[in-house]
Amino acid sequence: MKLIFKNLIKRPGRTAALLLLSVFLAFSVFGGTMTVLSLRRGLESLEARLGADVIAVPDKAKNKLEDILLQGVPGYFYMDKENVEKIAQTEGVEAVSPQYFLASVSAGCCSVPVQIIGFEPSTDFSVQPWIKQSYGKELQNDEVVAGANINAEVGEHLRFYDQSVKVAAKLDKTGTELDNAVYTNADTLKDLLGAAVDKGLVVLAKNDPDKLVSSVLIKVKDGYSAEDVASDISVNIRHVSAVNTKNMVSGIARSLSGISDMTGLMIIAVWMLSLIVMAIAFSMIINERKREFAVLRVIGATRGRLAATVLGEAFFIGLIGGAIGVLAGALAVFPFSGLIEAKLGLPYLTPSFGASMGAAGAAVLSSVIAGPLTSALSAVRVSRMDTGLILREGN
Amino acid sequence: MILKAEGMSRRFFRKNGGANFFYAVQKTDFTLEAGKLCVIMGRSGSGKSTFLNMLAGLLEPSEGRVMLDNTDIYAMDDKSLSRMRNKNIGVIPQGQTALSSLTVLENVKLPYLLYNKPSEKIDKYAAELIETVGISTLGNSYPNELSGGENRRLAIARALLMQPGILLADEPTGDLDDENTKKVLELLKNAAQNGTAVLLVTHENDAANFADSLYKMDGGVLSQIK
Amino acid sequence: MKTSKVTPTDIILPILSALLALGAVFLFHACPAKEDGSFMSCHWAQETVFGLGCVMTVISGLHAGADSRRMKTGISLSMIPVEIYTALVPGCVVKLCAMKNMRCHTAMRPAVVIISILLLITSAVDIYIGSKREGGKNEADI
Repeated sequence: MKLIFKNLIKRPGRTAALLLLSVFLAFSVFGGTMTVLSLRRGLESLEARLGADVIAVPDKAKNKLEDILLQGVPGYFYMDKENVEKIAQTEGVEAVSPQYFLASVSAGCCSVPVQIIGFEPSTDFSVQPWIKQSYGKELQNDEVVAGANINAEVGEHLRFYDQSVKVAAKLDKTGTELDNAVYTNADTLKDLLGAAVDKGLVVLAKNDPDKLVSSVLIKVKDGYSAEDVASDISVNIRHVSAVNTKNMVSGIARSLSGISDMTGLMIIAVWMLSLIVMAIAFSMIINERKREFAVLRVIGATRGRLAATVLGEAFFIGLIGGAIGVLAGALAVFPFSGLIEAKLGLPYLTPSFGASMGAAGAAVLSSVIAGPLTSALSAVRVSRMDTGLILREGN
Repeated sequence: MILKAEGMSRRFFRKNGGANFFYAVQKTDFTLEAGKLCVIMGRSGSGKSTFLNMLAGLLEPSEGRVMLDNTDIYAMDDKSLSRMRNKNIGVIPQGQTALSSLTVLENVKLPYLLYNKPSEKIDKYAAELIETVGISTLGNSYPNELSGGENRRLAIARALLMQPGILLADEPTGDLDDENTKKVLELLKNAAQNGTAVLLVTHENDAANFADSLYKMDGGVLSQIK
Repeated sequence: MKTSKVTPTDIILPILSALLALGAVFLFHACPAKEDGSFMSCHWAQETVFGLGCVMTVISGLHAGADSRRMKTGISLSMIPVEIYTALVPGCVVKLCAMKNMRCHTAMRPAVVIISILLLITSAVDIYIGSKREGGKNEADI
């Protein structure tokens, strides 16, 4: 046991090179797994957060809705408020909740426009269930519910069109573009709209929230298919087209499974490559150390003991390298999750603590297994070698 | 303790020919007795190292047996043979044989620590041994800081640590100057006088003066001179 | 005069400091200027980090060049508050942008915090090395 550590410490170059390999291995396994898990969780949370089975929007606004929900491009479109009633009466519809979209030109300091969504607190079933932290009071005028990406805590103020609003509640992180939105009630929205018109955005003046809505979120009764209800609405209500949310996220699901497969392949490739390199490295090292092992035999070490020494060294290299690799991976994956999300352009939500620990465990395990696995052949060779012949070779 | 070779031989296959082999050691009977220093002289390549390795249980003979006090050592399994060698046979192999990641003292104690927990007794004995072989000041040095002679003496101390009944030394004086050669030979002679059966294999003539019995190895054939 | 032995911290400190200064400008810079050319507040956080990084590069250069172990320990001690302050610059000392998915939040802040913490650990290790060396070395000095 002591000999194993002494061997590792007294050969820093060799140990470092092998460590580096197993660090690399654990890092890529951990990083890859975390990315796939995050994407999967992002998709799940997107599905959950859309909340509605069907979303009804004005004709031709379907693509714009996807832009808003999936690409994070703020926008707006409107239809007659009467449609809400018509939709509610469609067969198979259990609940409806209208939303009104408004895009800010700039939020406070920043050049990025923010999507402002007006909702009806009384009928809403897609925003309020996700409030993470709030006053515990009903939403007042000039108060907003902020998505997780809005850099303001509850009680702080935000400015839109020079109108100050208070953050009354914050939503849970979804890892999707919904994190960038701000939700208000109808009155606050009217105030903001007024402020926008005052600032010269006269085009918005005709979009009276009392007469218009942007979208209607629809919950489908049990026993009805969202697909049927959506087509029913599209066919029967003029100028309205309805989208089955399942279909909307299916595009994302497809690219996600593509990325999952790629990452999986990459992990396997890295693993195989590391295994091969490590196996070669171990067998070279063993060749170089033949004499050392022969001496151990001379003083009475069994064949098993030699094999155990080789396997033990490999095991500790795997264990230590795995731990370092996961640590380095964690430093990349957790603090920079926002950057990864932005680069991937897909819903991305860091997995729960448990799932992350699972991924970390799997990564350490993969490198711990890699050590003995790759040195097994060398260990067998060491234990089989003919001591007498090696000692002769030495001279 | 008595180590006996009965009809022992070893042949090797030549690398380039299938059935083409040669005898490194011809069929030989040989006895190594307690308290005696036995010297085998021979040129390099004469088969003397092969002979020694077979006696040490490190190289299985092609024919014949090696008996240690009536036990056929090659009939034992690896575990018991290793254990037996650890306890009863001290081997001083050719060349530099210390483990480079351990200090001199750790190297000397290694045979004990393979099968036992560290103890103060063994620390003391190991310290005495390196004193005896004259490298006591180097206890905490590493083997690569030692000269050839010092390394050889380390190997002797290591071989003596378990107070084995048999001591087998393969060219222990190779590459050493006269003074060191004399020291090493005296150490081996002392061991024999203390009751150990010592076999010394060498190509140097100086050793003959210390021998209780003297053999000559030539082309794998062993013949007694004294 | 005795020159104390070069420790790994002599090399790691300036490298990390320089990484902080250069990285703030080239690698993990804050959000770009607005279309009208004006900067958002996170830009000033970047400038502050750049300045602090430069200062720390100079100080850790002095650390590497110092020939007494005691002086090195002193420099390391003095770097600790600077390192803590640097970690706090993006977000706490200087406000960042309103959206957390913007560059200053996703790239600059975590990078600055991580490098600052690594610097902090390195300084702490250096002080530890100093306290160990000091004990043994004094006797040798006499």
